[in-house]
Amino acid sequence: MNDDILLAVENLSVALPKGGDRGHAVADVSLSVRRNEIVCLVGESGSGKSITAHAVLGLLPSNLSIGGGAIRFRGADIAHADEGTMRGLRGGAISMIFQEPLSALNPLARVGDQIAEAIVTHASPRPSRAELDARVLELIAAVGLPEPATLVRSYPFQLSGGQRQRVMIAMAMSNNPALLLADEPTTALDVTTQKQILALIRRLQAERGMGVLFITHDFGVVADIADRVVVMRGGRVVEQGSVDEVLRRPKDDYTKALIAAVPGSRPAAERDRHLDGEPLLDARGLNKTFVTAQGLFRPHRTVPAVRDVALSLRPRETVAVVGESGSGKSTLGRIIMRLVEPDAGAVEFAGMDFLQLRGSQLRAMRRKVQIVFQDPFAALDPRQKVGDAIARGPMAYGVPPAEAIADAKRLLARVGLEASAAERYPHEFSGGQRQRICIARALALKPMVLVADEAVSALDVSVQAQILDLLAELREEMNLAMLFITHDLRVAAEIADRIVVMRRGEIVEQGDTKSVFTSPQHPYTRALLDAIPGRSLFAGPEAAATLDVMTA
Amino acid sequence: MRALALSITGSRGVAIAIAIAQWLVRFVAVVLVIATFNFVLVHAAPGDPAQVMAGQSGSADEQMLAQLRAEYGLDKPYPVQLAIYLKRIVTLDLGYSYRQQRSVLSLIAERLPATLLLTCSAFLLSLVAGVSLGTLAGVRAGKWSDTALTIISLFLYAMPVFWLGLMLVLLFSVKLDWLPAFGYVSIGVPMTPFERVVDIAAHMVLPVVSLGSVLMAIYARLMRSAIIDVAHQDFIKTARAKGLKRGQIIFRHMLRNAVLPVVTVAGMQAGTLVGGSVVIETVFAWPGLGRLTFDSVLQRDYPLMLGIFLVMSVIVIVLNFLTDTIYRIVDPRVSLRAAS
Amino acid sequence: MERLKTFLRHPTGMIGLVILMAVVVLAVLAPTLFPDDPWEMVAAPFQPPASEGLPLGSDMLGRSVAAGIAYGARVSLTIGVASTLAALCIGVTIGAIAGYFGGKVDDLMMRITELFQTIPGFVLAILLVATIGPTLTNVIISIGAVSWPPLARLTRAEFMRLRGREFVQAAVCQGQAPMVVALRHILPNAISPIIVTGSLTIATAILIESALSFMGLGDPNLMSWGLMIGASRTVIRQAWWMSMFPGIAIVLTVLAINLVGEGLNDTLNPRISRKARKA
Repeated sequence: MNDDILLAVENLSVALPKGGDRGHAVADVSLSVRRNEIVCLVGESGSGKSITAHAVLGLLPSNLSIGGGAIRFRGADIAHADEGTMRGLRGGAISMIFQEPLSALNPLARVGDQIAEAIVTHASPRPSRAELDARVLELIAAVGLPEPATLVRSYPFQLSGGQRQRVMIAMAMSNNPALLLADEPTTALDVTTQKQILALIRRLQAERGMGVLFITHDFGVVADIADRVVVMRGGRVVEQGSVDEVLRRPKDDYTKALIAAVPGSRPAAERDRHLDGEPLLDARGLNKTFVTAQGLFRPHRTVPAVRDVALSLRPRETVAVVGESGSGKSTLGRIIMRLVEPDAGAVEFAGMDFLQLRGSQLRAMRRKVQIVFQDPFAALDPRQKVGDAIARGPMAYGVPPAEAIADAKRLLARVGLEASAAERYPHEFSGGQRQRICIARALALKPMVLVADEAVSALDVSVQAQILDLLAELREEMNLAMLFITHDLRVAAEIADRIVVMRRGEIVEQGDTKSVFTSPQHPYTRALLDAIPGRSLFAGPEAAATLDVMTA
Repeated sequence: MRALALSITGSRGVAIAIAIAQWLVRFVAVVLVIATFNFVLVHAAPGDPAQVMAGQSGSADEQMLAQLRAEYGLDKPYPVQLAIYLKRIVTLDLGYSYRQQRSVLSLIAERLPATLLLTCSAFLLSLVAGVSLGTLAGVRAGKWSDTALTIISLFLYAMPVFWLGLMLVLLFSVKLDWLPAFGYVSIGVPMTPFERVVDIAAHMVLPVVSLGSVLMAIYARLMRSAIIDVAHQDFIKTARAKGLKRGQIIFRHMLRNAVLPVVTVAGMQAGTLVGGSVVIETVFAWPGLGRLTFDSVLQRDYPLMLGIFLVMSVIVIVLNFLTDTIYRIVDPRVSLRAAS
Repeated sequence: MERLKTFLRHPTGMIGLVILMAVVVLAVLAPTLFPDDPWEMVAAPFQPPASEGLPLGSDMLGRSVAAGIAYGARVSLTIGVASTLAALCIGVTIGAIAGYFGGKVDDLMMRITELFQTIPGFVLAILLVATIGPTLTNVIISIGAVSWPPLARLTRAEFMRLRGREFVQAAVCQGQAPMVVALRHILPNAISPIIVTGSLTIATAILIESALSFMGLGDPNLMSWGLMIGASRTVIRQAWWMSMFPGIAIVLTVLAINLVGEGLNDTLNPRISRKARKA
């Protein structure tokens, strides 16, 4: 059995530079990867999972170094191996793929050359041009890329995200590695693409009997791909075991909390919220095409972002707009916010066409529709105190400053922060706290509609769950209608009464959450549902029913 | 996928044609705008435009002024005057220098080669030296050689070119007597063609070095920070994960990416280079356009000044085109994107 | 306050600030240190440095080089600052309008800016001064007129970047008026790179001024460093000090301003915070 162990990390410590919030990036980490198995290393941001993987290949950032412990690869300790030995291993017996496939490829070199370089580096004698070309084509075909002959000559920017990641994988496979380190390789991809890449990694792993150390933050992905799981928190391993043990019978409290926080895994809330009445907001015939001028003599580049979209929102209703990148969901949200002017269409809101309003009328109506953005770091003015950021809105509508500030403090308390937060600047808060501030800012104007544009996507799962709970409470308290824009069907399932699925600027399907999950009509919706990672373990609100449909 | 195939195979040629066409339009636009600007300047200058063109010396006689007025239609409304002026420019008639008693075009044509030789050599020197030194400093960031280079470039960057030129003359010509200080070629010495080339080269050293150093300092600093930036990018990590050696990573992956911002700035600095040539030619008595500028300013020889201004702007556009082309060669995305 | 402390701990920035303060003090105290008119003959011509009463020697007309440098500091600093202010007025206005409104307005403004960047600035400045006459004001206007394009491009880029930022959009959604959004949210966040570039523009302006004076296009009634070098360059073989010392004055002043600019850059645009965010 022990002969099977490819990689054994023993009591590894990596020290952080002085002045950080903790002494070690990674402390006392032990884990192993055997031949022909996939080990998932899971954790939230800052857990040290990525550092651990980088340490294996000696690719730590220059301000970090291995403090103690051993990294045994095929029995030999490589924790302190010299650069020459490590170079021989990198891209040879051990290869690695990364999260962001665009930035991980040299933008100025053809992909074929980049793959060839990986082969030549470890080949001796140097293969002939013809051999090399044949090998590159073979690799490209092996990772399922189309038109290999054309593809070798293309540049990374000409490929889609999924294709780029396949190129990275082809490069990693070029010397038949024994061990593959995959650092969040599907995080930057859409779910349907993620599913394909996961399947590809699984297939290559099985074909070649590789060991894979797969780093991810997503328990859904873990459920889909892992043989064994290692859970990390704050630089330490809190639990490890087989995928069944860890996911179904977690022992550690943190693991339990993490798994419970995975959207879609929680018990479904009472769905019938007794929604009725006329639509509060009714959008019809929305169209928007982005046109970029490219200078003289060049045709303008046109990108249709939203095509003939109709959408309505009843009082107190939460509608989730779900789609992958490029589906136009964010543009739709921004049209409704009047941040982007559509080419055509109407948004009837509280009895008038919101899109026709100008000047002071528009300003008067603006407060009724508020937005929470995705990136809580970009959404707050770094030079404005939190209290000011919240109070400025009501003040713009004539609320006396003292009253507005008092209100802001009340709201801060309501969203779970100290009232004294009002006196501080955004950089003093964590991502989750900032998102709470953004919610308070939006609610200060007592809106009727809240647009949440990927409002929980940038957050760790445990924080994500808290924010979703907060939003669910607030919508009841304030009788809010919500337009919840997300790429994640699991999140949509948690909060939405109704789901609208968009693809390439068009709505392909809409219906109440339950029916979209149980009886999706459009093939694309089915593909999306099918691509939700971890469906075998966590399912939507109607888990049993969905599974039945899937197996039927 | 079909779009991909198309953009790779067919249309790089189209993209290049478009780029050239665009550049030509810009070229014509700049020439016309500068000509218009010159026209405005002549009329904004104190005194009668005809007097201004004649050289503001008071020596111009009435007959000559009348001839000028007729030639340039100075009694006609401004738009007509402008049209006449632009037409002359387009037909390469840059006017007549009454001071030098020669046509402006012939004066400029005579001086142009010396200036081109100077500016192009300085441009090349600054780019090559700047990029190499910057790379060296960037890959050795924090070491003493990096610090030394940073200090040197900080000083060079703060130096007036003309003073740097004078100090080099003081050191290399006056004190050490290694290199000639003035002129383009030794006068009155019989030389074989080969000796002549060597002689010109010796005369070129100081002006080219003075003119190129300041720009070199800019490029070196830029290249250094670009190298440091690129070193932190993900694809460098990929290259390391492939098992490449440090040198291979620098030469195959870092250099090309890091040189792009330098090329962009080199294009923008072309004007500085041409402007610098004016003072450098003055310092070194280099018989080019810069010297001619100095003389024309001293004598308030307007037709000549305006003509030089136009030609120097054209030189800048040509240099811009060159840097643009270099950029396109280094970065395939530009033309491929444009074509797709 | 926090920023000030960071700056005070910035080593090269502080070196720059100290040199710059010394130059400013020299400029302010010039009439006290050298009560005589700098144009006045005070000694025999061609006296080398460290002669009696002449720390830096005398020039061809027996004027004190040291006095010339002190008075020249006034001219250089005045022109540097004033022409940069002029350039800021033009550049920031054009850039802000182009960046905030975008579209056709932006297109037009940027074409004009590009055109000005194509023109060799120094040659244009020569032409302008030669045409409108070499007075102090005209020199300032001419240098300002050729120095604004980088500021305009920078301001535009900053405005465009910030206009799309989510906190600005949030302010729009809060119902704040466009002017309020531009002044309260965009400008304060755009101001620090503009200050940094502005400080470097002062340095460039001083260099252009010195070159203009060197060519004999400075205000003939004002003693300036470029003029001193230009006047004495023909006698450099006999009297090196006449050209060397004013040049050192220019180098030190420009260097000091550049160092202060870099210090400001590091304190006002801390990249470290951005990196910390990524990690």
